Amino acid sequence: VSAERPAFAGGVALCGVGFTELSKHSGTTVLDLATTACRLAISDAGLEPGEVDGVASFSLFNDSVACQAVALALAMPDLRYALDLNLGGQAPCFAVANAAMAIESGFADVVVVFRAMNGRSGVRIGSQPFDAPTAELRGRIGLTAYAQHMAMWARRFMVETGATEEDLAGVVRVQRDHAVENERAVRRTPLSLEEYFAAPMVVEPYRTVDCTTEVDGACAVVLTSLERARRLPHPPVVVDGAAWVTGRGAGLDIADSHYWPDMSRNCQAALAERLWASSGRRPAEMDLAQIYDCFSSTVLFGLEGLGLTGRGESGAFVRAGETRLDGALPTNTNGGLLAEGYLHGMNSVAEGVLQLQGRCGGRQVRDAESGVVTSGGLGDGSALVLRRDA
Amino acid sequence: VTTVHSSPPAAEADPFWAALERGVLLIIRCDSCERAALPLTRSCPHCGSPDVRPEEAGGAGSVYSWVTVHVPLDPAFAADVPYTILAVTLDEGVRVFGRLTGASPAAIVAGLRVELAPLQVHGRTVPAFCPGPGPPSTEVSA
Repeated sequence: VSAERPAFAGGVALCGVGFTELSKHSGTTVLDLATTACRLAISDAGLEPGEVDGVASFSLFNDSVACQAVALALAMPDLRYALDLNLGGQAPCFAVANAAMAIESGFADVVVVFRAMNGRSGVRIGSQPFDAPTAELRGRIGLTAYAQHMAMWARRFMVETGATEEDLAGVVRVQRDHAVENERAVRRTPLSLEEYFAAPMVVEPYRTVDCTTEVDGACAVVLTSLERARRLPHPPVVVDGAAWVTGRGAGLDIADSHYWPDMSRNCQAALAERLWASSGRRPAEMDLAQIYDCFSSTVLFGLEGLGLTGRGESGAFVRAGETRLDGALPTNTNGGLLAEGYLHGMNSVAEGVLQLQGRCGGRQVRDAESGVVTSGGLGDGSALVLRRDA
Repeated sequence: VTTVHSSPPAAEADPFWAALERGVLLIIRCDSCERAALPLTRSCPHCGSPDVRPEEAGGAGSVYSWVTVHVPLDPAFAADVPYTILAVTLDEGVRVFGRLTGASPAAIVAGLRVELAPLQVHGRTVPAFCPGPGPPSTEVSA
């Protein structure tokens, strides 16, 4: 692990955010969703589509559109950079880091990064059996869906750390409360402990309420050099550091956990040292966290894996209210993927930006200057350290 | 020898599934680093050597993790719920996934000793494990 900061760290900033409505049925095409979110994000940054020369995105199972399609739809005249990643929730922070690399190197000036999907009315990732090299070994025994793979990691985490169902309930309940203040969120009602335990089991230890909500929608963010971002309307949010990891033993495909040595630690533990070194920052300096939460347990994995809490301490940390808006580390302040909706973590990046720009209204974290955002809950993933420009 | 397919394979011709029909769990052993692995690949995932050969596992191991499926996200398994899937660490050091058989999910604890007991699931023989002799192992990650 190199202690050196990557060249882009500190010199590139996020400057705009765009969202479509999140719904169960968009009634429109994924291209339309992507175009709308990108148009809104570019406008939010105070820019015109003609000033954007890079587009980055990610998709799974052909559930989205190519970057060049969005460039066409917005009549971008001169695309110099396009990145179409064949990845899921591991990708958002990596796509942002990749855009920052392109900008720092002079390959592009302004890059829009988006995720668009009809994730509810179209291709539903959450219930898909993955067509992959090891699919047959899982499929024949009925280990077919994302929730089941993640539950296997969650159970081992509970075995090793002593985490309980009450800890999972704590994560869900805090995020439901956050979502009350987020008009975009699809689950906006608080959840009592009794309601948590009364929710139907999907795959033990997960109940329905431990699982993200699939939605139709799109989200986009815009990046440019810090120098240029300082001339734009919103406070620049600097990409202070970033890391990607494909951990040793990450497997033959996205759902393969035959080789991963320790299923109580995921990609966030594997990239932590690299992430903090890349930013020159420490976990204790973070004012907020947006941790990839396709399922409740991954918040605990992230808190512990990144060193934001000690091993085995995340559950008590959450139940003590430390991830609430007035706690030590407000976490998943938009309600997360559990309550805002499953845009595969692109919306977690967006929430990090909006918080550090001070634009979150009733869920705004006071004096938020630095935050960490993560993507992914299995053996490969990515993360960002973000900082509001001084 | 390989079972890595990018499209649906003629599975019964596959050595892993063919061995399972005989009640044998097939793994690979690396002639270079001597470690074992699953799935059956042509390259050792531990050291990268191409010198791997199939080996018959003993079938005994301990429970590493487990889930119980209540909602069949794949409708093909609707008649099976609730069913429990184990992640088992074979004594050869290899992780394998299989159905729980011969015990209730309530009896499962981490480290429980189990033995291979292949099961018929929708007309196919699949890996399954039942409780075996011996006290639970207490291995925990560092």
